[in-house]
Amino acid sequence: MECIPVTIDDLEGKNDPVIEDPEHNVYTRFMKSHRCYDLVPTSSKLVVFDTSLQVKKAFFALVSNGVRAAPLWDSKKQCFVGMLTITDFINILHRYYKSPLVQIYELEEHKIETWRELYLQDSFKPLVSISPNASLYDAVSSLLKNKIHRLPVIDPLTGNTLYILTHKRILKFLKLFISEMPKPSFLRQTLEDLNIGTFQNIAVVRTDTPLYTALGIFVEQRVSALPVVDDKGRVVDIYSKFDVINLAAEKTYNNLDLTVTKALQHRSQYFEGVLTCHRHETVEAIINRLVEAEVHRLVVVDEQDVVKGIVSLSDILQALVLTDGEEGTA
Amino acid sequence: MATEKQKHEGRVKIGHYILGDTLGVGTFGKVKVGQHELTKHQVAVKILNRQKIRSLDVVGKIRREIQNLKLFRHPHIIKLYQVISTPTDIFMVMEYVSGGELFDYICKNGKLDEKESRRLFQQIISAVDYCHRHMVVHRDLKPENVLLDAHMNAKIADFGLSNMMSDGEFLRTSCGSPNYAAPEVISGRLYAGPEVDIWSSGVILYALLCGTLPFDDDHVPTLFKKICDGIFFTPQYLDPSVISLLKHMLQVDPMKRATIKEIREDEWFKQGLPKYLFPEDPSYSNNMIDDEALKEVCEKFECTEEEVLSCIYSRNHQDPLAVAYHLIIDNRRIMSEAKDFYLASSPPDSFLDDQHLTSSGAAMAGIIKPHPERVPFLLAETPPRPRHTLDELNPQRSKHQGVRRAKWHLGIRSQSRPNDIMSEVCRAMKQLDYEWKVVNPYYLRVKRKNPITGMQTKMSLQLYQVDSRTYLLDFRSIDDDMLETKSGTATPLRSGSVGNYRTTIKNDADGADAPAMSSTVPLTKAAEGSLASSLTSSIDSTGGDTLTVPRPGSHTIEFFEICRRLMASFGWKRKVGEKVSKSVVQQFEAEAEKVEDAGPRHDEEVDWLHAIKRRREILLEDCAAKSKRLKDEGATLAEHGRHWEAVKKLDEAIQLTPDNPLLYEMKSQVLTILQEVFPAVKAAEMAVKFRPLWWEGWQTLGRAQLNLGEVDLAVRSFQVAIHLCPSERSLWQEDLEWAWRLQKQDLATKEKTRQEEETKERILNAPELEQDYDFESDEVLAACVAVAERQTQYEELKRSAVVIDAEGNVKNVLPGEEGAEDAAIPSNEQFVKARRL
Repeated sequence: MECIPVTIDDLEGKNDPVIEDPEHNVYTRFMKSHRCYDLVPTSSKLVVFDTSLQVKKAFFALVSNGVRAAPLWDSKKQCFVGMLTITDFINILHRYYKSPLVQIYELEEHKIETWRELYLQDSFKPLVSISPNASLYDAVSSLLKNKIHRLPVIDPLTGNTLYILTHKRILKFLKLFISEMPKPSFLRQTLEDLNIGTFQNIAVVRTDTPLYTALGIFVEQRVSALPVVDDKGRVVDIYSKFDVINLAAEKTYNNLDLTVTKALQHRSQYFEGVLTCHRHETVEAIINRLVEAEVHRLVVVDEQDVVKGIVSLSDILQALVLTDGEEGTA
Repeated sequence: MATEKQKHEGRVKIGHYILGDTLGVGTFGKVKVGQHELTKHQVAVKILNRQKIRSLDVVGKIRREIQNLKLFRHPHIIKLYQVISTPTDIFMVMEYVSGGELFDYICKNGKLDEKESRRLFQQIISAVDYCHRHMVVHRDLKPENVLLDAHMNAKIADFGLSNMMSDGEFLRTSCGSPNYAAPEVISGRLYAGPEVDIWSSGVILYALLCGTLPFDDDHVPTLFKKICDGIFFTPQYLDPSVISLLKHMLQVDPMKRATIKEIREDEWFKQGLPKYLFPEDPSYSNNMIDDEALKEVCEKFECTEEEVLSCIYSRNHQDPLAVAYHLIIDNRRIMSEAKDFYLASSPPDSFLDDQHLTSSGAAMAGIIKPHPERVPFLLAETPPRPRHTLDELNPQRSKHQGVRRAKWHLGIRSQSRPNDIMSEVCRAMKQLDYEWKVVNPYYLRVKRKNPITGMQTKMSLQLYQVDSRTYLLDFRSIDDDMLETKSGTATPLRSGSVGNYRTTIKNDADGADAPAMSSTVPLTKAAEGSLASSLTSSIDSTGGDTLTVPRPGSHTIEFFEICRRLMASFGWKRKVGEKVSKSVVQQFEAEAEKVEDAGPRHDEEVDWLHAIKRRREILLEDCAAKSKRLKDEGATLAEHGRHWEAVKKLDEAIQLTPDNPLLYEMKSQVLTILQEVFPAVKAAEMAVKFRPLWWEGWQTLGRAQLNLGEVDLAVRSFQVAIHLCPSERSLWQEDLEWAWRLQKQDLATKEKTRQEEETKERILNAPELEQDYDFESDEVLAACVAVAERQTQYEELKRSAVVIDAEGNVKNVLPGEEGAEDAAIPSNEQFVKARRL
């Protein structure tokens, strides 16, 4: 039974002593008093891949089913062994791409299990999952600690995957009830005051950066999006990991020499522009913008639209839930 | 909660409805109350035994009629929500009303006052009119069929049902109470048109006003006489105007009887008539075709627009397609005119109750908030943001906008006979080493132990009838810990059903001893998916502190895996050919019988042990020896003309030694004698497959093919046989020659059919008539003569048959002249050569 996934179970700290100050730790307490089950939608689509499926087909299936990630089922071991996400697609493209003239053999031929063997190279880690009974606090901790974006909720009783939990979903849930909770003072403080976000070594690409280079940055720096900047360092667009799956949708992954600008053309119709913010904006404003726009991050810019940093959902959750707005620990 | 669960245990479930008490026994079978497992919405479920219904599964027309009943929307007609067919029964899920039968009401409360009587009578006439306009006659109207809702409104039940039975039948079964039957019905005339409903409505009106029946007598012949005389007693208190209406409606001569139109013009009837009961007449003569309605008909009946249009244009109003078309237009109109009333009597949306459930749950739990998706304002506030889904990237979606994607369901559609499907399922499961129990012939419970995780996966298989020829085998997962009656499933007709997930949630900190909260969330949208499986599920949470070790594996994925194996196994069968089907059928039938004998269906205990033991027994014996013994027995039986028993023995032998070609060859011969042509070919094919160089096998195959009418294939088989054994004279002289003759005859028949078609074509589109002629009598006459001549020619052709004489010459003969040819056709007995068995 070695492949029983590591699950975080049971509500912790349910007997927290009542704290006098209603503002203190209010979001941490909220997260601890709600379960992952509460976040599972009434109805949602879940796609599971057998590891013997070809990787190429799997990516097409992600596109055609409109999902971003899928749990992987190993029928030999009869358990879930991992997740297939867009990151895998990026890794495969980046690792095996040679030139527009050469078909990526590995993408065409490999099965998911072959890819995993090559990619993970015996460093197989058990699938990180969570029980529906675990608290949201545990879920947030797990997402941040493991630096993952997709956390499958697996029911210990049936072994079924019920849902894939994300930062976005958690923050949206919090936002639903935020008005009913006492408002902690730090919400009115600015990003700068609280030091939330990343402001050093921001990975950016230029409009003429080849796609392959952009993929390389995704792989090496483990970021989820790259602001596209002009000569003066002003943000003009953003290229995210999610945009990469378009290569599968349009079957254009054989040419990664084209520029980022070119690769982003497909979404021109519905792209509403890069969502930005300033360092002097309050956390509350940032949260509202993130939830409303349903994006994963905002680009922090100065008055001239020059990229200064990135503030992501992970940063916000870290600040709200794990450190409760206390400075410097982010 | 616990008691409620127990109450449901062992109860039969139809669709989402748990069947409860019997409401009544009607003409067509029992009616039971059904309650939606989640929303508690009540329905009435009429259970029709197929045997009682005249060939319901054979004639598509009747199916379409039922389909039409589903379209009936009238405030005073019991709505038919859904029809679920299984090979043994048909379940009609209908609107449930709480007021009971009008009959009981009158019995209990006596006669109604004039105003109240008129109100109900107006409603009844409105309903009858609606049905008549849609070409449906009730024929069995009586106060027992008029139900009352909570607000004392009349609702007519069973409209259209009596049309499924032949006339004699329906009278015989209607509990022997012909009090309401019109004279022409009891006098045995076969035709019963709309007038019979007028008569019955008259009887009902009388019953409303007087509390008694106009024609009544314990002695049936006297009763018949009274009806046929049409004389009834009119109490003093009746208003003279209503008496004249009654007399007009209870006219013995159907031609003199009141029509709906006349009733509507009656002064008494018109008093206080609500407008909604008789909306403006829809004009059928309207030449504008309603495209939307047309499309809807095509969708519902899976037919082409041309078919519907031709019905409408030809004014063929009785055709179900035309009826459906008008119903749809009518429904739309009623929707707009009597919206409130219509909506009030509609079934509740199951999701509305969900809301209620959750909010009450939240109240109990205190802290637990409603689910984000279930917070109504949220739904309104956040419209879907397309750019954050992959949907717009999906090339298929963007290219074929508006094209509906194929419905996806987990299950198998088949046009085979139900018994064949089930036996094939059993065969496949046997091969896969699944264990199963026959609950009834079309409902099996299956289990498989996962060799890796050691967990049991259970599922049930139910065969549903989709239309007159198609069946759907539905797979449903069974969660061990769940009561089966609660298992969430998609609608049976298109479902891949995934069982429930159960999660335990501890009570919250503040209320350790609070009553266990239980909320059930219905989630019944059938999943759409492609490559991989999409799951929708119900989540049921029960209180308690049963924290368990995580279960290895995944219940749902394992369920999908056992389904996939089973389906893959069917695929294999189609390619390789049938192996032991028949014997499995028999085993299966025997088991089914056994279960039926056992009586009640809902014994939850599954007799797995027995199945295992039986398999061991077979293994322990020496298969080969037993097979040989069976073969010899079979041969003896065949010699004595006990062919079916012989087939059975041979099948048993085949099951023991499945690759012995001799057994198949023998079986094929016996089947040929039995005129079971198709199985005979299959058996012979197996024989040839296992021993391709055996001429006798090929010969048997050829003969079987010949019997099936596959002359070309037969010729080929005989040629192979001759090739293998050129010295066998019988092959040359009998088989091949005969096959050639048939082949020739076949060709000739085809040629004749072609000629016939051509002649017919020329009658219909006479070249003479196509010319641009002015109607001068000579030309028209000439054309008519030409057409008539061709007609004769055609008749001639149709009467004659293609026969080949002894010399192999083809000729057309009229039937009756072919006596001489009979001798040339060898009898079937001769075909099956005597074998040294």
